[in-house]
Amino acid sequence: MPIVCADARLAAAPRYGRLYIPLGTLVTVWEFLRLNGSRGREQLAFLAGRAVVDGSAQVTCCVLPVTSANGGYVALTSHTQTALILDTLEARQETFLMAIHTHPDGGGERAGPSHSTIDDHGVALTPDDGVFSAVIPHYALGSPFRFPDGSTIYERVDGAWCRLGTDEVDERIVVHGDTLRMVPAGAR
Amino acid sequence: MEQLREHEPQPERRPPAGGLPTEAVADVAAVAGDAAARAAAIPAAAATVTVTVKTTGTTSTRIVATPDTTVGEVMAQACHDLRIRDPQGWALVANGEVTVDGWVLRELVEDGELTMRLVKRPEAGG
Repeated sequence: MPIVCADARLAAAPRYGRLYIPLGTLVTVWEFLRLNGSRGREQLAFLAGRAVVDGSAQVTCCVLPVTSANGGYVALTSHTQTALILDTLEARQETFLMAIHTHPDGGGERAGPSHSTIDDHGVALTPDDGVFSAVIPHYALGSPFRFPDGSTIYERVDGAWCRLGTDEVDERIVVHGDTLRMVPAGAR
Repeated sequence: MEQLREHEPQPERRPPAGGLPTEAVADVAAVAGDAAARAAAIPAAAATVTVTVKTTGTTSTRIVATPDTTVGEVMAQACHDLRIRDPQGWALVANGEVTVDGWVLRELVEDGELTMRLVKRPEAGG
């Protein structure tokens, strides 16, 4: 009997009430996605961050991986890259929160792009529930200021990706500015 | 034990019949002490090794196994413990490289403990 005993430590699956995404981080990711899009290729990136006290999560960084891509498929180049990303996030006390990838089209009947079977099985960095996946239409050649509108957002619950409705996206996916600049009264 | 046998000293030649050893008299206590020190320096083979397999910082499993356990066996246990629903496409990464199912833990572990990361290569398309 080679395995003598095993003791699993499983974290309770989170449900983030809101995901706060800094606009600057979103724009950085978007440029990364768009660069491949301008060459007619899909692209995949990740947002990571930390849970905050009210049950929400705050994005604190974006992960821009080395990928291999064509017009309809994108993948990280190795398993060791995934391990390195997770080692780095763990050392920074950050956790994977959202996968963002592009599709060539805008989806059918104005419904927005949808997860494919490959997306369902492969798009996330970790197997955890509670994480999100965003599908960006038209290779992210549109404006990031329309995000999350015009994109499709999923949340993984009990191992399955559940598509969020428009109202839920508006309520739970919050893009906010990075800078709060104060100016004297009367100044423009 | 096999290693000890490989390094077992060859039997010394017997002195001619009726003769006496002509070597210098050795300090028996020093010889015994030296032998004990050399024996203590030989690392004892661990009976088990402890492998921590994690997906994230908060989700992991601690597996105690014999050194001849294969990576494939560790993988199967880890996927079960960590509730990986679709094990295909997952790999165990240790010491910065992807491990192979047929490897045994003895080849990977140095001090009785090993940390591995259970990962997949994210992909999208369609």
